Amino acid sequence: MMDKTGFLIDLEKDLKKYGVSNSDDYIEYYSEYLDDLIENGMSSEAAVNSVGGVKKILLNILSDEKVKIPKVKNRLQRIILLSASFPIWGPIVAALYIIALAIVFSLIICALAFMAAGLWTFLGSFIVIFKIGFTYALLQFGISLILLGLGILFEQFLIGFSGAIYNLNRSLFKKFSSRGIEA
Amino acid sequence: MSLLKFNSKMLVLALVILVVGAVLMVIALSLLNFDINEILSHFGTWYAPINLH
Repeated sequence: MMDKTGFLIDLEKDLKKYGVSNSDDYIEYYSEYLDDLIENGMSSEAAVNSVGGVKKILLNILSDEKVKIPKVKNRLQRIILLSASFPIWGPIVAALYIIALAIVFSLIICALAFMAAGLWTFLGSFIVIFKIGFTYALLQFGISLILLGLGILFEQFLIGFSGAIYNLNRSLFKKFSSRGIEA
Repeated sequence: MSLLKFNSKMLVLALVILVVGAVLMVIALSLLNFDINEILSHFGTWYAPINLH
């Protein structure tokens, strides 16, 4: 047995599947209609039963004269146009992704290299104090701080940039996935 | 303040470390009277047990 909410959800899914653009009007209408039945003492399941189930209502709506279904031809045309122009926009999108990945990769390498060099010269500067002298150690210590600072800068750029790319992809995915993905 | 999150505090810290390092480097260079040759002549031999002087 199906209650009112389940009925309306199933009906909306089916209306979307058949490309009905004014499905909200019908959902609202049947929601009010079922509410009236329930107010008059019917149970939620009995009300749905008396209406006749999702498939019957769907047929009624599809044969209704006020139903709006955008022409399949238009949608097909758009799909064909998009597929035919793939050789143009496909490589551009691919190139953009490759560029983004290359930037991420180079940021990883820079961050790792500067941090490793910074740590190594930092530790080395303590050895230099005893081996050669304070002035040289100070020089190396300064250089190690510069390298460490650059390492942290690149690491932060890496995190910021990869985060931005992740968010961009997520929003693009949400925008272009028409069915099945819950926001 | 986390190294694993993008935050302005970390950027400022990195810049401060960088500037402090640059200042220390300039100070050390001036103590060496900006003699680059003096530094380069040690290049690669700093950790070797060779008596330079």
